[in-house]
Amino acid sequence: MSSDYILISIVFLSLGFLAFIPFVTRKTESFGVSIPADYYYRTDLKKMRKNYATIVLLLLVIVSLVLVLIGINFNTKTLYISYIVGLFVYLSGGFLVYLPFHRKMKIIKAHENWLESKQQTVVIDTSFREEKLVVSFAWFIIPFLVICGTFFITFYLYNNIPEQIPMHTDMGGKITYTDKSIGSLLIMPALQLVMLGLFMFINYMMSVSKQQVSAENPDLSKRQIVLFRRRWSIFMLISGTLTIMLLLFIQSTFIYPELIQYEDIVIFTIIGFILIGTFVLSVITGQGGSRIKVQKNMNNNVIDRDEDEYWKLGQFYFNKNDPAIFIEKRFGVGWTNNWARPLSWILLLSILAVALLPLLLLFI
Amino acid sequence: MFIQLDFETDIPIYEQLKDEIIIGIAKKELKPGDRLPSVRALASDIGINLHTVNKAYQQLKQEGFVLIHRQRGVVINPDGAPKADEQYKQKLKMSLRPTIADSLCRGIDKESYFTIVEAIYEELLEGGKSNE
Repeated sequence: MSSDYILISIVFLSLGFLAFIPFVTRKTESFGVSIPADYYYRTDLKKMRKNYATIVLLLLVIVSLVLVLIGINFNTKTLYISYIVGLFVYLSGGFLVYLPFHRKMKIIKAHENWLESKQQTVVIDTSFREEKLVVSFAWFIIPFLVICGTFFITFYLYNNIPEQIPMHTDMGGKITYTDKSIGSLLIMPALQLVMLGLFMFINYMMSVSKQQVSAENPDLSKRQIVLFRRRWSIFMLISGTLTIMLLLFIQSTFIYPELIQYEDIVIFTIIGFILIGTFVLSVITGQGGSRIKVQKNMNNNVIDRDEDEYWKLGQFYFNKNDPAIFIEKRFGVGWTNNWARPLSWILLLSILAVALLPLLLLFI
Repeated sequence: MFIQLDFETDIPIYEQLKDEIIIGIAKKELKPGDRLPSVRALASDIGINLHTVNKAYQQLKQEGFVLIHRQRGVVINPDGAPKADEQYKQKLKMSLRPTIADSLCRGIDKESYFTIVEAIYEELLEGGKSNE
């Protein structure tokens, strides 16, 4: 069995995480609609979460079965395309499954008048940014040294590198080669630099994103948010460094082709670690630290300011009065942008552009 | 210190923000020399226009509660707010007059008014200590 199969299976298994998103959101949110925290455990809301998970998992099983059938009956090229189509079908299907749940939540909320008896409040902590929210940027010297190492071995041993370097192994185990050139050997180091930049940017983003302390329990919420950011920042530093080391390893296989026999095991270990780590961290920490248990002391008279109108379809934040660029996702783990800010679009486009840059090196 | 803003009253946000900071200073939750978030950070965290925060900070600066440094940002006045003078007392009288009149019309006598005032004084003096 080719390594690509295992890799794709791991990716599809991790996609199952989509089904569990309603269980890791903040307790003040349900399917992209803000709710009073004590309603999170109501039986009808519990049931909605279960139903959503069941449908999404079912969708994943169906898509996977279809892909397996295609894999048995057709050639690898068709299978590759099918995987991409399957991924697209699953992700957009998941969103379509979400929509009726989102709509139903909105109706329940309006119908039962949840906002009426509560005072809509925004609570912020003036000393929030004095907390240690993310790891120090000095830590990124470690992955930077790995990149320097990659450059060094590449050009120190340039003459030892075979004239042909393997670029891609397909599902049948057939390897395609590219001629050795400065350009083709710079792809990996360039990718590493792009990733380092991206990881440092995310670390910065985590420290400046909107604080979002919950009005119902500011003390608890603040501690949860601080832990949430710290944990993800540490995890990102580790997995980022590992990814950059993985690229160093791939570069080494160009120089020492015999290393290729360890390629699979190295790739699976690192990607497996990152995916499992992401899953475990999401489940034990929850969005905004919502699953970290600290004792409760709730104020039931207040509720966070209702911002549903700015959350289009419960997932896309458009608020032109809010200067914040980065904000916690409502339905998911991590952050999203305030799309009413032009800077958000500029950032998105520049990240896409920079990510595609290393490919240009192929044509040098 | 936590700042709590109510988005459903008629009191403008910049006024609420200003009041919360003055209360924080009175309660000693904000100490002389403490740093406050930058205009941008505070506006982003609350989700309001930069001008609103700027207005609150400018008024606090004018009244001597904060200093706005070019490099260090906004800090609570290390020397404390300026002590009350005759002019201040005059202003205080002016602002208390209508509220006392209002209370009088609603049948709150002198004694119950003083009880309320005393309770607020106690609460503010207590405030900071419970956090230490």
